[in-house]
Amino acid sequence: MNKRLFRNKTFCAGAFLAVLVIVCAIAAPVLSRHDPSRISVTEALLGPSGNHFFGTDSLGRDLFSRVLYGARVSVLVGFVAVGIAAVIGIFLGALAGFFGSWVDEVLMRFVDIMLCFPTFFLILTVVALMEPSLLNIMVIIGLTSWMGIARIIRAQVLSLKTQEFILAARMLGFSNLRIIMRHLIPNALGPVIVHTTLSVASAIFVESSLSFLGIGVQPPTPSWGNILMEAKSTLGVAWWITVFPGIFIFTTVFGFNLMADGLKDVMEHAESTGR
Amino acid sequence: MQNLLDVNELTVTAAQTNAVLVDRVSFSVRRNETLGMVGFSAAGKTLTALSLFRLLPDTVRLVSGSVRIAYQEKTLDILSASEAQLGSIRGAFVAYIFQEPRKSLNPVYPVGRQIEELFLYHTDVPSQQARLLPNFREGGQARRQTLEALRHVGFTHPDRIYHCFPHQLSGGECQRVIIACAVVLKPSLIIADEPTASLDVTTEARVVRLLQEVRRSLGASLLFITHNLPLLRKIADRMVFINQGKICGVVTNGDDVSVYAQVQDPYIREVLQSMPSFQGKKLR
Repeated sequence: MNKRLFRNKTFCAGAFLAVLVIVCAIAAPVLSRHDPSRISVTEALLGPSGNHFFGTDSLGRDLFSRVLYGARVSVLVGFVAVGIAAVIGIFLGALAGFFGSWVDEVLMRFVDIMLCFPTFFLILTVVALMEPSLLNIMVIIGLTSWMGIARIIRAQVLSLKTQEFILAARMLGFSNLRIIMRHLIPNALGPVIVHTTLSVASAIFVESSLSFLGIGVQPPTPSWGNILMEAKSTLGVAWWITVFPGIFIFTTVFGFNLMADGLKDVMEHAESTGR
Repeated sequence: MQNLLDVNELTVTAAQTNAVLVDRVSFSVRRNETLGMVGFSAAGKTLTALSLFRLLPDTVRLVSGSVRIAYQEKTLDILSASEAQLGSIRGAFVAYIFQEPRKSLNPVYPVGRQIEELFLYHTDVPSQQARLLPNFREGGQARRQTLEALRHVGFTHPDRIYHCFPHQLSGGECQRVIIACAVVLKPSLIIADEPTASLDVTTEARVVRLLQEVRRSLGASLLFITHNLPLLRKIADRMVFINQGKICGVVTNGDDVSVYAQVQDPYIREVLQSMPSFQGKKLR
């Protein structure tokens, strides 16, 4: 399985891009040569050069450093938000699938209700009411994106719980909680991994959009979204301020999508051959 | 209580249609015996076995009857036991062995882990049941017991089998792993539901011999469910015949064919007569 995963070109390409961005985020203080928030009016709007790889913005801040530090925000939001979504989704989905009857009915109708809201506008409303901060954004994206995971887990659990090893586990006297946590969920995780990988990409995307609209991560903390927002006014004279964060957003989202695609292929193959 | 298990007038129906699937079944399992349960497919054998410890799927309902067991020097009625009591009875008192050995093991954990978890769960109850991740300790008592159990069921390299996943083992090996589960649990009753149906004849013989041997060494009773009458003739002390959800009769097994001469039930006579060793012989 591992071997086949690394032989899959789509997965490897995606993983390469994703790891690249993650490394950039982690190593931002090492890689950048300037303080991302140091303003220097004399160096405003310089084009890409040997000193400022990606040029500078209208306040003379080094764009390369800002994009790297922005990657930290994006990666953090991506993983934490999806982590929150995964925990909620897996837990509720497993409960619904395992207990069935009214528990299932209530939880799944709740999922339907959550899916009725246009997510992005829901997030906009909530962020407008609350203070826009990094933590709030992560929590809100997490709380609005668990429904797909819950549905997947429920479907998996429904088909798993009739299998003999679950009957065997019950016969061996294990409690319901243990059966859910140790026997059902680990066996149901496959498709969820694919889904969460895709969700990371979309969470990063949502965060960028929110920051672009000015209700996400607040300046001076750099984030790809708010760099783009600031770049808007100088688009005519300084192309680099929009192009580089844009490339990073594109690369990240593309990388995670490729990775999910590769994972899906490998898993489907593994399922059909029974390993 | 003299017997290990007394089943009295157990009735199971389909939840939707109320069709009677197991009809007022009564039988008992004595201590230290191998009781065979014979019947065609869909005769209600598995359903009876599952209902003994209330493991029925949602689609069927246990309507009436009683199942009494001799558990920890006391008589306990399963049908009125609480879920918590059931949790400790299952596993500690009774171990099930299912038809498809590979499917009864969890595919995502190594088989040794599964045995060890079982051991920890049932021996060190207060501290282990509270925690979700079992405390797998290299060289600990649980590990030693697990390896010992694997050796007991005939694996010459238990430490290698310990780390194998179910898909890496053959059907017969998986069945032996499941028997090893029974060995660490030390139950009073082992219920084997067609444990050899998916195995070839040689492996079947080994597994059956192993089961018998384990039963004897644990001093437990074995309820052996099968449609394989010749096999049962070799191992069972008594045989329960079941047809269309009803018990037709209990026959004490013996080498002497004349034992069967007293059997009146037409179904049992028909089944017995189908066996090559009985053909041509008059039963009366």
